[in-house]
Amino acid sequence: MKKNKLFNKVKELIRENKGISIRKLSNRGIDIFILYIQQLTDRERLSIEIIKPILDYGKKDILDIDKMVSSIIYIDDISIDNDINKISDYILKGKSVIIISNDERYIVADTTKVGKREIKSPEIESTLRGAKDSFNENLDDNLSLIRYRIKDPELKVDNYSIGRRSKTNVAVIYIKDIANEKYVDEIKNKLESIDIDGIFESGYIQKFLLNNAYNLFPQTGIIERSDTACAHLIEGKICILVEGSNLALVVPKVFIEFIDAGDDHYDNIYLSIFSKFIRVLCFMIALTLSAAYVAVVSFHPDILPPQYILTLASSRATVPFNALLEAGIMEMVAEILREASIRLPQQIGPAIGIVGTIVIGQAAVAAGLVSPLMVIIVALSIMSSFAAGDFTIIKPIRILKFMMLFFTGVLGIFGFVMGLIIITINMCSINTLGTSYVAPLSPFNLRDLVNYFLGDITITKKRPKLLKTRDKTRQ
Amino acid sequence: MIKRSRNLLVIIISLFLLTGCWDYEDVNNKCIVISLGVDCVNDMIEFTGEIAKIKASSKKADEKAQAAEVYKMLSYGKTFEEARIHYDAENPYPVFLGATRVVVFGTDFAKKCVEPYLNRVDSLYDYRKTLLTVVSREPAKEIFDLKVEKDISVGFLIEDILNHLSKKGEALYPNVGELLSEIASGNTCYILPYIGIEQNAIEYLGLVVMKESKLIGIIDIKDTDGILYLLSKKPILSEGIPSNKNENNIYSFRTIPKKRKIEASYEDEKVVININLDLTAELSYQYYMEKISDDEIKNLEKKISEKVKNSIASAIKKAQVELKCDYFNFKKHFKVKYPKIFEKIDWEEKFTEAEVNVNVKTKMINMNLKDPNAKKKY
Repeated sequence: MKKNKLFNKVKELIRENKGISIRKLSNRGIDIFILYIQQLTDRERLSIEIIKPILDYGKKDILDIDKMVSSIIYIDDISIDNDINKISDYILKGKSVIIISNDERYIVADTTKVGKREIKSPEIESTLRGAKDSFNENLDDNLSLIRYRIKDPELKVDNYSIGRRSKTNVAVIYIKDIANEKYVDEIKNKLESIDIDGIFESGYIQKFLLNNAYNLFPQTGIIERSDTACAHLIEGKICILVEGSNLALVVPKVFIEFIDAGDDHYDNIYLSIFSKFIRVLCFMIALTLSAAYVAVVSFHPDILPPQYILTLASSRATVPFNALLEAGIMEMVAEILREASIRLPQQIGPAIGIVGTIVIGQAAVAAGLVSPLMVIIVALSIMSSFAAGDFTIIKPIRILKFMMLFFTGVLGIFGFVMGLIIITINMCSINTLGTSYVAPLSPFNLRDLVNYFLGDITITKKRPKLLKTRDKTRQ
Repeated sequence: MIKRSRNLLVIIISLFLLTGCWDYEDVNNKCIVISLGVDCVNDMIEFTGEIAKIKASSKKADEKAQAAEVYKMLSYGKTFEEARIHYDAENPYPVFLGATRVVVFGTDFAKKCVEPYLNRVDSLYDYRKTLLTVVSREPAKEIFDLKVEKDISVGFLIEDILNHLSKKGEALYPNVGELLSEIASGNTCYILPYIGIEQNAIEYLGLVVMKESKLIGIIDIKDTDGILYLLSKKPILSEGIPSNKNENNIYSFRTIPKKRKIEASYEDEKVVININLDLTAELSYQYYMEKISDDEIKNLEKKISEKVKNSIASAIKKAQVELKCDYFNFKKHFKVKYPKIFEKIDWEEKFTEAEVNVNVKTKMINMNLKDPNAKKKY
């Protein structure tokens, strides 16, 4: 074997024991080394498309690297490199590196094969009418789902490798002549500035994109369904796909869009308006119902008709706690049940429903610990929280409802109103990629607001003004 | 970061510490007054009334909340304050007046003056200003001592009776807010519902006329039609008109005012009040089914108009001559039209001498539905 600096690298890799497999071939006195990781490589392809043609080569000409690339190896994705430092990176990414004794360069062949899930129905973004092919953990599969829906040459995919150790592939997807250039650049800058050892979920990227990590409200959308992702791209937004995560990110996303569900755009216009109205109502119920109960019971019962006051008083006759404590305990119990039901394995999931129903529904009332009305309120509050178009918007509600409860406990209806004002001020001060979080309510834009509520593609002639898109017209 | 967390911590701790510091009292820890009676007994103010007995059902199978029981309260004092101190001292919890549905004034108290109590209702923050006020023939205590089977309690019964009657236009439902605004606008005469005990049951007996918040007259229920046609928001009254052909047959009509216009004018230093009332009359039924001719219809329309006109005229006559009190509030119409003249004249005197012209027009509708011979006729 001639002295080749690449061979030293091979020896070094063997010494370091990185789990790299080495297959040595020989053809007419030329040594060929194939380096790969068994777990990441499609070994059948490696045998048939690389090893077999090399061994079968019987011509008189001596093998060289260019000949191998041009007329021997069958692999489609193939390249030649000479940077010795990149060898281990290529191998760790699942590629096969072919070193030949008579050349200082080496061949990189993509023989990657990673175990992956099939494309399945969405789990968190369930829909009646929308498409069922949801993203999985494979970046290529996810990109293919987007590409087959949008066959626009302007669809751009910018790839990044983030994570010093994980080297996770992240793709920024947008339609170049629609998306706002400024937004795209800002996203790219933010991604480039990420310096972290590993990225394993799109949630990591999401945190880096936020302006303020202490903010409660979600500012990036989480998408599981590919049709929703495409709808956002067409609208002028930017999608971020992360290798190993089945949830794509979409930016910018304003508050009003969190009450929107994919079905709204496919259904009857009246149903869409009605559903959105219901969701807004549910949002308010989830946030304020318990606090309103405390305000009415403890401070201002006179806002109810007299008959209701008596019913309310009678329902609390045996309750030993005051209304605030009662509401606080019940809301906490409901949150425990919710948390438990998420973590429980599917097989014993229904058990928590039974325990919850018996514990908080019947036993607590029978024992006189809580009033029946409180159970109704907590149940309604929890039920309402599941009606949100995007489940991420409910996360801040889970915390804010307790804040509302305590503000009301201190100052009654004044505290209640104060809590709502604080939440509103906080929402108004959020700014996502230069877009106001409460747009199109503030800054007010009637056309965008109407379009969001109607959700009808035949009426929506223009793209939302708040996205400041390059191409403003849809039809 | 530390500063932010510190601020957050301070807010959270303050919320915990300050919870329940101001006005915090659960509704079940209050004496919920359902109804209140105010009367005068031996020159003492007597407060009576009902307080809801808050308790959950003991039956396991029937876990629904109920507030069917009340307990009575009674206290005396020379002033409202004294009486209040007395009943505060008796009750286990602070009194809550936000659920009070009715205030019953005894006749003796009403004769003295109800305005102080109305002002008290106005200034006590938890009283509803839509509170119903009635005057009882019997002492208020007797009214509340009555055992009620038709409703949850006496207060609920009185309110429900007057509520449904006023919805049908058969009674008036003046609330404290309206009375106070009348008094504030300088109107010294107004009307309150009158109740009493008949055959061991509470009954609506008619109206009482209050002048300067003192009871000056009682109008029996059968004489209230004329007042209701002018003062009720939507009077739908039943009128029975005997048939010309068959004296045993009576046509029963529901009369509904379509247009009610009251105009005041000033002619030759005399107040003239013109009342125009357009009625529609629906034939509800006949005692004996008969064919009704077009002439008969016209005749019936005329008879209804005449009857309504007479009832209104006699009600106004009573106000002018007997009670000398403008509880119809014609003053308002005159004052709006002639503000300068109004300043110069003595309205009470002018009202008693006023010329009142009542013009009632009736149009009969819904004949076909109740006329068995309709097809033959047309």
